[in-house]
Amino acid sequence: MHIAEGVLNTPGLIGGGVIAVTGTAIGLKKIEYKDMPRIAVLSSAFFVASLIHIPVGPASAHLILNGLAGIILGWASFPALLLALFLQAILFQFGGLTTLGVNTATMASASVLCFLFFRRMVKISNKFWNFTGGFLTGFFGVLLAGIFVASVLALNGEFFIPVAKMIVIAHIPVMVIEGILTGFVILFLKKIRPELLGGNQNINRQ
Amino acid sequence: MFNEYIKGDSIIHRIDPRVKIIYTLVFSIVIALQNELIPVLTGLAISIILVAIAGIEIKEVIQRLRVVDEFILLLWLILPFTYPGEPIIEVWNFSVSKEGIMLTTLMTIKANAIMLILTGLLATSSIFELVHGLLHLKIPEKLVFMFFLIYRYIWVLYDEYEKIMRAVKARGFRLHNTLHTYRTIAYIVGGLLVKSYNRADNLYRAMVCRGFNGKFWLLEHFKFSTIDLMAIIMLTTGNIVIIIL
Repeated sequence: MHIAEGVLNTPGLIGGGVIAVTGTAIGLKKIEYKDMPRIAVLSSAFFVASLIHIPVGPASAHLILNGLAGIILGWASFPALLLALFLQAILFQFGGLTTLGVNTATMASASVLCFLFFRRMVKISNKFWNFTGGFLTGFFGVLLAGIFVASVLALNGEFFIPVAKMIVIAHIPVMVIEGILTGFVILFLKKIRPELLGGNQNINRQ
Repeated sequence: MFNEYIKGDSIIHRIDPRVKIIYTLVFSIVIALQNELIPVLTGLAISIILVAIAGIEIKEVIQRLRVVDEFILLLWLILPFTYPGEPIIEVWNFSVSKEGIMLTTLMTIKANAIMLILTGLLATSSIFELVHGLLHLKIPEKLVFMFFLIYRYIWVLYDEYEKIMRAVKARGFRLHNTLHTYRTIAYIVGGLLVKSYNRADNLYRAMVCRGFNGKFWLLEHFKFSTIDLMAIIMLTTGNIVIIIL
């Protein structure tokens, strides 16, 4: 869900920029030097995973996984997503430089909210709740990001509200599939590498 | 899939990356904040000239513009109908407003001008030059360092991903709208995460063995040349013209 260049007006661009800078500063402060390789390599994994296309009904969509990124990276999602979007801007010219702040803010705020709300559900040892927590993470990761994108667009004026609504509605199937997928990823990680699911604290532990 | 860096030997390829980064940023902001047609068209003209000087093939340019124009197309389908203003065409109950068309035209030109400047200036430097430039521009070290690692490991993990995909396809896996597909993809994603996690441990140990203490050393330094000075003067003039118009 990228907002293209040249569409937003000043308040949207500046507001998004401020949120992105604040979030990134908090994220960077929480990352210690010894965690940097781990967070960076995990971020690359998320970048690669987001290139995977899955069928959604008759169409196909790429994975977003910002909820899952939130659960695993915590506040570090802000710098991670900022860098991923910056890379996309200079690698494939997706999104641009003035919208870098807004796009980081909409995606990473959703990640951090998922981290704050659902990390306990995926931590406990109960498969049902783990899957549910994963589903909610995937679902709300996309839903919240969509709502944030829609609200920023609506800042442009009332006439933008139909576009904003359409973006959220078009993403509903993606939300469901991201939810199911994230649920399965959580179960998988729980079995193979449970220490990945502790959020920031466990990443800090050597 | 990553066709990022456009090779060439034009004068634009030789401009200092710091100049390119700052100019791209200033240009994007100046264009994004314009609300009149003429300055935005001037911006578009400047960006087209820069892309032409850099000698980038048209095919390459179109490929890069396609993505942004898909989003813009969505706006064209809705905005002219919903923006309040003087109606010029009426279809059933919908009316197309003149102001709506103007606004969408403006957005289309802005978006394309900014994308062209990104292609013309940033895609003509290698990623290492750009990041090196960022470090000189006082971007937090942690961020630049993570950027290098992320960039480096995207290739490694993409290879890993292709290997996994080849393996599952060889076992007859096809993408369908089934739970099985989603579960398999989820395990592939999980596998990627676990692999990257394990790799990062080794990477960290290797870095510590080589004396990593959080400092990021620069081995080369940029020299400011006459090309850079000329570029700054010409590009700044371009921006001032846009602002005045």
